[in-house]
Amino acid sequence: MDHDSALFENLVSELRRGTLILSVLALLREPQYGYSLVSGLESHGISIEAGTLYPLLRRLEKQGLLDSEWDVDQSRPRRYYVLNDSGKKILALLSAEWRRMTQAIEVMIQTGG
Amino acid sequence: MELIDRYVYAVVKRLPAAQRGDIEKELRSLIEDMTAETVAAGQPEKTAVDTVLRKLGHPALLAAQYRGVEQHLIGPGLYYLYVLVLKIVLLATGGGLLIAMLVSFIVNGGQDPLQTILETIGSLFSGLIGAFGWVTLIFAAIERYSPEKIDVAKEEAFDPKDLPEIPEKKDRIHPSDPIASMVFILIAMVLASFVPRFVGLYWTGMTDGQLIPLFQETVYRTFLPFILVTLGLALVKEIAKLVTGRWTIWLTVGALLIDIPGLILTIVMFNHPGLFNPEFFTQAFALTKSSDPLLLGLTMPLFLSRVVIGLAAFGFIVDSIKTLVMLIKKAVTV
Repeated sequence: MDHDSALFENLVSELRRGTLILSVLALLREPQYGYSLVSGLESHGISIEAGTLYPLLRRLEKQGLLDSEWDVDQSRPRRYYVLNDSGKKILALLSAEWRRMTQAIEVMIQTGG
Repeated sequence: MELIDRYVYAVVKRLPAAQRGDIEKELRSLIEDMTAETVAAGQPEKTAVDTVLRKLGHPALLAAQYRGVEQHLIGPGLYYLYVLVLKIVLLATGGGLLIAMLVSFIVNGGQDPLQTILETIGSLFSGLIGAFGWVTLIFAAIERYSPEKIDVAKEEAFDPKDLPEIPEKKDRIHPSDPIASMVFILIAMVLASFVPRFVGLYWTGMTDGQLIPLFQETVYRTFLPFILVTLGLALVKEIAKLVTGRWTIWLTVGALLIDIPGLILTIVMFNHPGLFNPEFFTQAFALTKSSDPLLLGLTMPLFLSRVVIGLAAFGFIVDSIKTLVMLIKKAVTV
């Protein structure tokens, strides 16, 4: 039983890893800083380590999907990330792909073939 | 907060300098945010930082996430061969040095054994570290510049047409060939550095137990660094053969070019009038009771030099022709 639950946890995290970028892009239509994004994802029931998210944000920026800006007006400086135009395009494409996939998988789960 | 400073430092020191400033600022603000939240949830500030840092995990792992693709001095693809070559090189160098020291002890006779042992330990130490350094350097260069390396970062589309041909039997290089050559070259390096002083004639006739060396030591000493570099190049060639495993165009041409310095050295060295010790030949012919030992002693070195240069040049020309034929064949088939 213990083995089964550990395996299950593993499979869930593997499943989530693939969907993480889509979730992050979806939430970045509005500017957010890293930690507000962690809370934002958490409020939707998706938990992610800050140590995973922060490097991911930098990677997405490097790939040209995000723009970022330091905001120094607040109590501590924060780097805000937001989708740029090509990020928005990718988000639209990824979302469409996501819907197609979930539908297909749903059909397979329902009918078993 | 000192603990935060230490944590942030431990992360950014593992990152490329260009990214450090930004990541440091961001990380610091993240830790402060997380700490503030933990305190707001009712934990005392002292332990809050501890909790947050534990949650962020080991600095090395966090830095690895930031770096993304890992870089290697010698990657997993080459590591097995690297260890293999390292073992051979260290064994051959160590063994060669030990033998050379033993020979020098016996030949010199009467030397203080303690001093010999200390000298042996000293030259073993520097010899083995040098060997280790060279092997590592060569493999790092192969890792970085190998023309056949897969460049994952470029994400070039894989084209099955680019798959290398299965090497024909004659093109394959069995590992035993370069390995044997490497051992041979390493022993030659040790011998070249230590033994020539003791290569010579033991003259037990008139003077008692005197050694008449084959080479003039001062002249030989000036050539020694070049000899070692040339042998080092030969070692590079053998390692490249071992790693590539078949005769590619790159390897064939490279193997030929890398032999050129050695050829030049041979020609220059054996054209040097003072390389051989004329006395060696005079005495040798006197021993054989030749009719005119003095004359033979003068002409013999010249003859010997010609033979050595001739052999080296002949070998090089044969290799050049082989390479040329191979290149033409490849050009025709492409």
